[in-house]
Amino acid sequence: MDKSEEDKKLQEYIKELVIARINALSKDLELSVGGENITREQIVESVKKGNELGQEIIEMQLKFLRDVAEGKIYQSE
Amino acid sequence: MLLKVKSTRVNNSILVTRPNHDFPTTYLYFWSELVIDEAKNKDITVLDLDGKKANKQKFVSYISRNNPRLIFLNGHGSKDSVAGYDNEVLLDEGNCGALLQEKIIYARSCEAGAKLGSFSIEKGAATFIGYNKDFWLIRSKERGTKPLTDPIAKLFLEPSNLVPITLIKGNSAQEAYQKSQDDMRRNFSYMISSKASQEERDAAFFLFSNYTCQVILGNKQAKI
Repeated sequence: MDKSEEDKKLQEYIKELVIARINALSKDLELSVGGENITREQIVESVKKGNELGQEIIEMQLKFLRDVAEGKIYQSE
Repeated sequence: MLLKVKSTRVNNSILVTRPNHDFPTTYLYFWSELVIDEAKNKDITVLDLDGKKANKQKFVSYISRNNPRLIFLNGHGSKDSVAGYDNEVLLDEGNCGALLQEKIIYARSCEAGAKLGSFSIEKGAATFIGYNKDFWLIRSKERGTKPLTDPIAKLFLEPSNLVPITLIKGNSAQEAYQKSQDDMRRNFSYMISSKASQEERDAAFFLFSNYTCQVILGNKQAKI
């Protein structure tokens, strides 16, 4: 497998991971972004399409997981 | 069209826009009341553009006539604008130069910190605090009719209220920004701990996003 194929596979894997996390959100929560309601389905769709919101969520999820794993949040307490 | 703004000196009054045309803006509307109360306790004049009054005509005329030092915006935003009631654009690159001279702006809205913020500073605003990506608000379904009792929303809106509240207390913009950041980090640490409920844990990622995207531009020592 060449590098671009590997990157593509990794991207898909990350997307699936993020979608799984969004789908697992408690149904007792309402989400809004910048003063407008947004559904889990809309977020998942954005991640699948890879539009600006989807890309932002993917990047942020990765940073979130990395910072939690590395304990960065706690370090800065 | 050129805007004419009276050349009265900026004073320590504050202008708040808080539309309430849907659930998310209604939350911001109620939580902004706590900021208004704090200002009133400090004898600071509050120009309150609430509900339908958060329209462009009133926004421009209130700033032109009163020249408030702090402008606290709530509502929908984009990289180059912030909106009011029914998403009418209140502030954009066309009017920010004339309206924001020497002012401190806090935009509790999406993305305005990405472009409008730096543009405003270039055009003469003192300081701009906002978010360069999306501003997330997570709410509890159960508490939709009582925003101030929503324990999930509180984790988001209390830290964001600290920006204007810290300024009202006479601190610098940098201190206001830092207090807000510290409070988000504190809430975030709690939300990923074993003490948090499932809903609080689920909401943690979105608070992390707000924390990461909050920016301060311009003069960090500015005060009202």
